[in-house]
Amino acid sequence: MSAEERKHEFVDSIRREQVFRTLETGVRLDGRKMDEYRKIKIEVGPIVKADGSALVQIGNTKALVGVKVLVGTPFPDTPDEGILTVNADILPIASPYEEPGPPDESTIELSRVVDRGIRESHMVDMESLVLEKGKKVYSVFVDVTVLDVDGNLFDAVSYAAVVALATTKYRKATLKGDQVVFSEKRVPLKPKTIPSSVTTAKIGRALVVDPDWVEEAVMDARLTLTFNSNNELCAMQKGGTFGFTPEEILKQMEVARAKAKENRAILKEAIEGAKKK
Amino acid sequence: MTQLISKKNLRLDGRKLDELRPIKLTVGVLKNADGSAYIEWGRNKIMAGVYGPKECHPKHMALPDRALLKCRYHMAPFSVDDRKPPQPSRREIELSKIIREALSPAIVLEDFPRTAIEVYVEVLQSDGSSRIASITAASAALADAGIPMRDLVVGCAVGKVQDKIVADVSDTEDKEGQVDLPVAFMPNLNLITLLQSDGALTKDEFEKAFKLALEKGRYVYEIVRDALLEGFVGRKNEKEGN
Amino acid sequence: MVKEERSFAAPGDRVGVIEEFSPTGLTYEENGEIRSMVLGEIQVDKGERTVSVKGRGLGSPFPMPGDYVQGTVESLTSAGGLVRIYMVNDREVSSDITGILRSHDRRGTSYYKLGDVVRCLVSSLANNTVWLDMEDKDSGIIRTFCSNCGGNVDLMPPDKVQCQVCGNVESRKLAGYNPPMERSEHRRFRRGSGGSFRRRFQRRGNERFRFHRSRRRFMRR
Repeated sequence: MSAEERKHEFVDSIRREQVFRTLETGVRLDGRKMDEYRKIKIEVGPIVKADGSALVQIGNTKALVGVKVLVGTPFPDTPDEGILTVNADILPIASPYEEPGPPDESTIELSRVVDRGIRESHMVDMESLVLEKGKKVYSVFVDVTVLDVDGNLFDAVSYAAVVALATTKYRKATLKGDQVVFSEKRVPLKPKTIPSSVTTAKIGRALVVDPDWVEEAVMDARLTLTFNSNNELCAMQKGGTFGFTPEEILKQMEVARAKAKENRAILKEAIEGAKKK
Repeated sequence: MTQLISKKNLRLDGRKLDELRPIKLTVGVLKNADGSAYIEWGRNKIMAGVYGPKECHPKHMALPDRALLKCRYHMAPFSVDDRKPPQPSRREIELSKIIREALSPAIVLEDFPRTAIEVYVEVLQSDGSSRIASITAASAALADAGIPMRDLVVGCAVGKVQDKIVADVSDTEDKEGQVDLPVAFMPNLNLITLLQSDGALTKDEFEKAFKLALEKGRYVYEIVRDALLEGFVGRKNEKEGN
Repeated sequence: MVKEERSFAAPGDRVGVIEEFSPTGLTYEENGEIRSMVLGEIQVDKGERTVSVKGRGLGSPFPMPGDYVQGTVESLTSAGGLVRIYMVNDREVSSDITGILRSHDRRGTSYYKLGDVVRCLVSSLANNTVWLDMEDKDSGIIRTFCSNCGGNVDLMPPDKVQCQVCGNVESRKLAGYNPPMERSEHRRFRRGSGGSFRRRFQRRGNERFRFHRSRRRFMRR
């Protein structure tokens, strides 16, 4: 994101050392422990016009996701599968460095990483979304709008997308000839698994989870890991301009696995809470 | 056609003819924006954010004697019944201009020559009269950003549904009703800054509708003003550690 | 609750009449009535018979003469260095502001180079440009690199830095020092190379990219 680049320029030179020194004492600038998340707040279903929606806040980072289920033509190479599209947009109100216009490379990376987490964990049963093989399938649009940026967009957006999808109730469609008829009856999009994403960052020698904006600006590298309900790794993305040693990767993997379990419990609680209502 | 107004003069959502939907406004909701406001007007959910005064880019657009006001009205893809493609539509581009022109008389742009003030309105859920709710939220966000303004800009959309004049037109009434007449104005200076209309109104009907819009707009103004002062006093207390 | 006290005002609120008070600070007069321009607290001075409104200030600070600003030197032109300001008086700015820092002081010496982080004083806003100055004691370089090899430098107060890697000694105006300088000493450093080739190239590349991107985006609107 351009926001990161721009912030980097100056935070880089001065704040980097400050962050480093603080991290060496075992705490972070905002007082968190190395493996501590900021407070995760989940609101399910704020948008009633969407088939499923969720607003997730991690600290000051705010991501809103709305799911729309429409009917479309399947891709020629997967005639017996539905369509899942994740589209992210970092709104210009979210950060002073964001401008209106087509998404830049970081925004595209964000949507693709979230997309991969959901797709590769097989959360959505794509084969159940077929109306007529090769002709008509359900097309699930997961639209992400980021409202406020304070680091760790990957996890915030991923949680919002997962909760929104897990609570989606779409209108059942039937085919009458070429016509698609939507019934008023709504069916839930049953999730097969709850993917949980954990982002870790390397700052100097320190490894932290859930980097905030300052930490993201000074970090050397970032690793986003997504685990399915059995806590098996299903997607991974490395970012940032520096690298990890193999030991660091393994260490982070274990930290992230534990965190993913904790955070999945929070996601599940939100999903179950919404079902009861 | 559906019956929009019952025999007892009640509307689809149970409102009286001149009754507004519940309005809830909060200011200072975003950390990064210089000023922000979130409004829930019935089922409308709108977030407005303001940045500036900031340096104008590209520089040749800067005005020598006043700030350049930029405005973007944008709807989230999930904000309406169908999916709206994320690219700005012609309607959004028009509304961006209309909202900019509605806000610019209120802002003391002359205080910040050669700079830009950016107003972003993001409609998260739209349910009729969203342009008025957007302007209301945007002016609250501008006030929250500390940008000098001559007055707040608030408004109300009135309409004609089944030959009756109603206040605060909802989505269904807008689509199936006869007339939609959004009005935005500066209540203290008594200056209308936005006026649109589609549909036929007789002279009497227009006068009645227009009067109703101004009356209801003043009611909206009280809500906005209270929310702003509450936000200001709340934050002041927080700062002083009370 | 707030309404009864009447000590706070929103934009457009009547805070007095012209017969009673004269409007000052963020108020204006319209048809004999004094109205507030901002959201804030009403302040009445009965002795001076003035009324003003004190708000929270702008969300993002805008530099005024006498303010200290911090920024990065983004490019060098014949008029001076273009400084991208990120902080005004210890308040971070949220938006884009650039200022121009004269490239030579009154002794004719270049005191900073491309990419330096500097702290300077706003000297004027003439011609709608933020003019910056590094003459006083508190102003100067906060962070710099060797212009030869890009390495980190050791400070050599009051007015020099030495590269930790290649040993190159360069002249810089360090923040917190009042350098007693002689003219002849500085002639040697007058024409610096302005960063290694690699760094210069990268910076230029970025800038061009940024320019095109922002231009394209605004043209879409």
